[in-house]
Amino acid sequence: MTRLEDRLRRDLQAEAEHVTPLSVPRLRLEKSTRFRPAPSRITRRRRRRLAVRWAAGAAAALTAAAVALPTLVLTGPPAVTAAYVVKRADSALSAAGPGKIAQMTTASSGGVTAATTTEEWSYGDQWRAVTYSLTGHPRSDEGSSTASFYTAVSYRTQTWAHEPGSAAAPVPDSRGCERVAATLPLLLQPGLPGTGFSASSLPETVATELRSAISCGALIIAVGRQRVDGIEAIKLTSRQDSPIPETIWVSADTYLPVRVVARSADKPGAPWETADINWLPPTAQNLAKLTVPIPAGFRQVPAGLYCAKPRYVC
Amino acid sequence: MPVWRSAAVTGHGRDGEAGELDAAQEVAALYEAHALALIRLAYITLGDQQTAEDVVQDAFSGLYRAWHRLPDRANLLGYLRVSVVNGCRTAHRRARRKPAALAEPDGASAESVVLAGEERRATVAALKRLPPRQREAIVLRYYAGLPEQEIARVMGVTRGTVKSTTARGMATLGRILREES
Repeated sequence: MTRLEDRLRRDLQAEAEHVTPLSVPRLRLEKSTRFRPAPSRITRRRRRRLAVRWAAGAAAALTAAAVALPTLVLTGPPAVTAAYVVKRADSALSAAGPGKIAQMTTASSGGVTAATTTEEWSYGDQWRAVTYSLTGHPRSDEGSSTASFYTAVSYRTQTWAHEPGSAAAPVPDSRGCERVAATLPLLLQPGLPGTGFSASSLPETVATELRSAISCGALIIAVGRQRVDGIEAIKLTSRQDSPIPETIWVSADTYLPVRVVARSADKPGAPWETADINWLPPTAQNLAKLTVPIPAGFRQVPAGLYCAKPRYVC
Repeated sequence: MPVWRSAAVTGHGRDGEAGELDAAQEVAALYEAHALALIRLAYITLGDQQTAEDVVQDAFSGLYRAWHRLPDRANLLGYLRVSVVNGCRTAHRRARRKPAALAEPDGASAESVVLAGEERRATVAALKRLPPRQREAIVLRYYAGLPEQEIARVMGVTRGTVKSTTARGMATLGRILREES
């Protein structure tokens, strides 16, 4: 046996002990469909009928949409200044904060956490965030509202906690853009230190987070407009001396941000974060997204024992 | 026909539920016995504990779903190992689409970085730089301690390929460690 082989065995065994027996999560077995009997002939016929109807309906809807939608034409470089766009975006965010549901999907890599995806919604004083692991499994789900102040679900430990109380406004931002820059590259990650949220106050809304990102970015207009998820957008990018290296796309129509890319440093390979933002009308279906569901079989634990740090799902 | 009668006649229902319960119990027992070792195997391969836990969770869920289709239940641990190794490959492919996803140290490792010896850190870092197949072969050989034949089965390759992949991996690892020291 060579020295390298010896070293490998020893070091890998030691490294593996990073995973302790206590850290092994509980097994989650999904309901199996193996025992479901095959659909009856009547069920199959009904499904076929429904499929045919659905296809016909979809075709009609597509035809109607093609007629109703105006032709979108990309224009040349905008004749407006970055300051104007930033001002319009800030006003749009102020108006959208209470009026629309902001849905933000954030993917990040590197920095203080492993690669994760987070989905966040906020509307008025209601807020919810779901964090997913690299493999797409939910890791945690948490939310707050005036009715049920703070609810958190940990999929890892299969536990949930509920902390009732009266919601207070977010802690005022005392350090301004320095605080925002300190969170890089996770500029828009919910629940990180510096976002001004503690166990006794509400988190910052998506609109507030975006307002900070826009006002602190020292932005200039990049040449040309681009389409982001089908929306014609003005591309703003930070100056080289900006404390926050970021690129923001705002809708040329509403001036609401539709995508933000932030990096920890303005160089290739630096940890990054990308956030895609949708602005949803407050319909019943969309409002339901703000509620944290408690999965069946999960155990309730006292809020104080749930997390070592306020608002971190353990 | 009452529901309970139709279930008895068709063979679905109680028998099916009992079978499902047995499968769940068997899989739960296997999880209790082997989850830690498999999570450690995935963690060494991937370098990220959360992803390792998910990969192992998926492997056990897959076993549960496939329980009644398994031709042979004599080597369930082998089946799980194959699932875990395949799951790690999938996680690697996804990580490649997200630059530096697995290359960066995770948050939990910040404390361990301080505590761990320099040498161990260098070994783990060097291992992460190997191509996935070479890393798999080396982890299965030197961490899991599997014989070549079993590694070949888990990786879905021939014994000769295991030998050559391990040898190439070890050569690269030795070179990286020499350069680093």
